[in-house]
Amino acid sequence: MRLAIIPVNRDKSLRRSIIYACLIIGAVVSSFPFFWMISTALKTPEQVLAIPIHWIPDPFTLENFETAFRRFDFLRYFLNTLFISSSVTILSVVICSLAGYAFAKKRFWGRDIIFNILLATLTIPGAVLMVPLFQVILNLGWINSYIGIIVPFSVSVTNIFLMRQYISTIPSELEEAARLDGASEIGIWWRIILPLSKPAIATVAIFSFVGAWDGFLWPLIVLKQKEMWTLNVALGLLQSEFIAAEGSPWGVMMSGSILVILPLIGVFLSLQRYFLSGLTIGAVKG
Amino acid sequence: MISRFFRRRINAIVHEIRFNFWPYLFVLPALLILGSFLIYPALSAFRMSFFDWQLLGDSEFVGLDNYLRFWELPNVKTAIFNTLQYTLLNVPGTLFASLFIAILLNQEIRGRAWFRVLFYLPVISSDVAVSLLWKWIYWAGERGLLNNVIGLLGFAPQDWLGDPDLAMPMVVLLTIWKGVGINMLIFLAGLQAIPRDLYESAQVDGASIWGQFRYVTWPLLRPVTLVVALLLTISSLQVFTPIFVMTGGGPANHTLTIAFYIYNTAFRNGLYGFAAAISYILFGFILALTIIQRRIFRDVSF
Repeated sequence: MRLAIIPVNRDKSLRRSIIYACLIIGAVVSSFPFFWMISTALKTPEQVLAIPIHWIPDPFTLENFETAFRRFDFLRYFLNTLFISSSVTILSVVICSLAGYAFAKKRFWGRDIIFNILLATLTIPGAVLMVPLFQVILNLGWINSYIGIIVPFSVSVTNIFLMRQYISTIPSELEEAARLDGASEIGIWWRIILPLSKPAIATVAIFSFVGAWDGFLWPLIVLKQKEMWTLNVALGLLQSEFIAAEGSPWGVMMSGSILVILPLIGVFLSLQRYFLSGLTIGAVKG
Repeated sequence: MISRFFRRRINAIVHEIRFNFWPYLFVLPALLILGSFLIYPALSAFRMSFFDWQLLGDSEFVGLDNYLRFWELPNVKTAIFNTLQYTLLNVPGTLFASLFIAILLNQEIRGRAWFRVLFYLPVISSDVAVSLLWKWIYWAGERGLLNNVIGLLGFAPQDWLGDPDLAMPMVVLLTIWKGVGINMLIFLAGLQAIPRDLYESAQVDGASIWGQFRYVTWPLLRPVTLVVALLLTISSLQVFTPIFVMTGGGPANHTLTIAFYIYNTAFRNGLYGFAAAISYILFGFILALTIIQRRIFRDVSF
């Protein structure tokens, strides 16, 4: 008996060590590039260029951030991005919750047809929209404007779907009671539906914010004027300028990258719960 | 007869909208925006693809010319070939890496939440920023991080993004790194839906770890695997940002992809009709994939 048990246990602990080893290697590969980004951003240009490479900055310096803000107007780009993402988020929450409420709770002619058409649009790839959407924006006179970036991406079918799924779990008795008390339709949406669907709103808000913050191709096409750029457009287009201006541009570029990534990671870490719940709804839906 | 039928139908709809207008009012903003910025453009791209399209002024109708002649455009075949190469490397690469990590995380281990966060960090980071970061990691010569790491193992430094044979695999490596976290979560949700007792009875029957994977995990996970494979394929066929930021399509067009080609054709060369035709061919391709996936699904889920 003893002989039989020991190998099994040893086998099990060996297996566990292999699992942990693989996971730790994976986690290092996954996070080490971020360490390198931060390390580069905090180095002086001489240290960035030093051979052999310095893993840890010595001394730490914020010089690169200063350059990014002073010479390259990154504060402006940051505020532009923040404005665009916040506007998209607010519009998205309002419009998608209204539509989700109607699709979940109301009976009206054409409801299922409309909803199915919306679901079918999920197959339209973004790359197809590039040219014709540009024509639409051009016709509206929205080239080089924030509205041209905010409005087209303020509604997503996925978000409407998320809101509908969540709102349909709210008991209808609550609306009925409010209706008997004389609440208007808008009042029911505002006082009953919205407060009760906070988790779904959080998920939609996060997805919209992150999606807008991440956007690159569309702002790249629409925003012509340098002062209008978002952080991503600036990072994408200023590469050559950085290289021309600095002996070692990578410190500045990495500090710019930190400015883009940090808010995203902050939002993710503080609202992780909603993130994961939203993802699983999406995954189950397929 | 027919007209009376329609009139009655229309009257009913008008009546409906008049006395039940709140729902319509609630969906109106969403429909207006999706209609004008998603559905209408998608349809008008189809129309554009039959014209020598001008953004301003009159466009000339050219029939099927854009579809028949786009082969003659320089580098279009290269772009298609590169996109397929990218897809064939990225889909299995990301899929198996995420499945592997999901299986590991599904074991009884400590610190699962921490691992999940660490694997998710690349997903949440912006495409442009991580593309820049990896461009710096791939930097040629002795200052590049990757060259330093392989130097520790005794290998000579490489010009990762400047070498025509290496550039595309290196872009794919970045995409795998960035995509593992989210696909891992989808797999993890699928794995958690597999009943534990199936593994226990497999163990009782003497199945090895590989046997358990082969006869329990893999077949039961098939629907999830198909979803992941399809989503990865659709996004791979449209890859743009890493190409724009890291290589600009180079060296010598070795990383020129279809989405980047469409962008160049339209916004650098002004050939909007051609760009629309190419996007529609891509659309057709993606649509076909989606339909095939739906079919397979119908067979799987009985």
